[in-house]
Amino acid sequence: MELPEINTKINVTDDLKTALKIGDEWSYLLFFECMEMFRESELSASYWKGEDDWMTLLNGNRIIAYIWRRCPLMFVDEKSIFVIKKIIDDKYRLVSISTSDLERDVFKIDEDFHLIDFDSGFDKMSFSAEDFWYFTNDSV
Amino acid sequence: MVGGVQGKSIFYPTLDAEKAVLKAAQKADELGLWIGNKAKVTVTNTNIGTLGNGQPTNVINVYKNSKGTIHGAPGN
Repeated sequence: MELPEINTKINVTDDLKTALKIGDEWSYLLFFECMEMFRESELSASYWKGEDDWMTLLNGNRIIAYIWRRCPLMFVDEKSIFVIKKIIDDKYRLVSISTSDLERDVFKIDEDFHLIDFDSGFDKMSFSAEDFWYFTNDSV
Repeated sequence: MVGGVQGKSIFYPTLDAEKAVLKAAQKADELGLWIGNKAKVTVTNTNIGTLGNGQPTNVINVYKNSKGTIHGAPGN
């Protein structure tokens, strides 16, 4: 007997809506404060001003999180949450979406969610944290 | 997939941008230029496009993902 396919994608629409509402001083002030804190830590943060829309956070060569400049949203490798929170604590009200693998297609958003412009090729019904970064990073 | 930083930078129309981005990605592999999944690659002897402020540039920003897709844009 063939078993029905179980859709186990995590719907992150509400997380995105929440982060997009917070806006405030994030994109021009707090994002950069946050980046400085990471740069002073054992982690490294890469952000090309005027070119990137996301900060890439690395531990050695391994990407452990993507942090959006547009709003306080972070996709984070769940194994690195503690080390990240230890550096920036909770004062930035970052909406965190964690995953065991940033490259795995475990997320989805509502089809009728149009608050974000994605580059063509983005699949709203199945994407990874990396996909989200990849399809929005040029939209500064 | 090839493009400029939206509304900001653009490849010269006379340039084969897809080929240039692919070559830039190869160069990034060879020289170990990747920072995570992005790299800045400098093209020698020629400019490849302009930045949003009209300045010519010889730098290509390359982005890749684990699904084997890459795209690029003129960078600084």
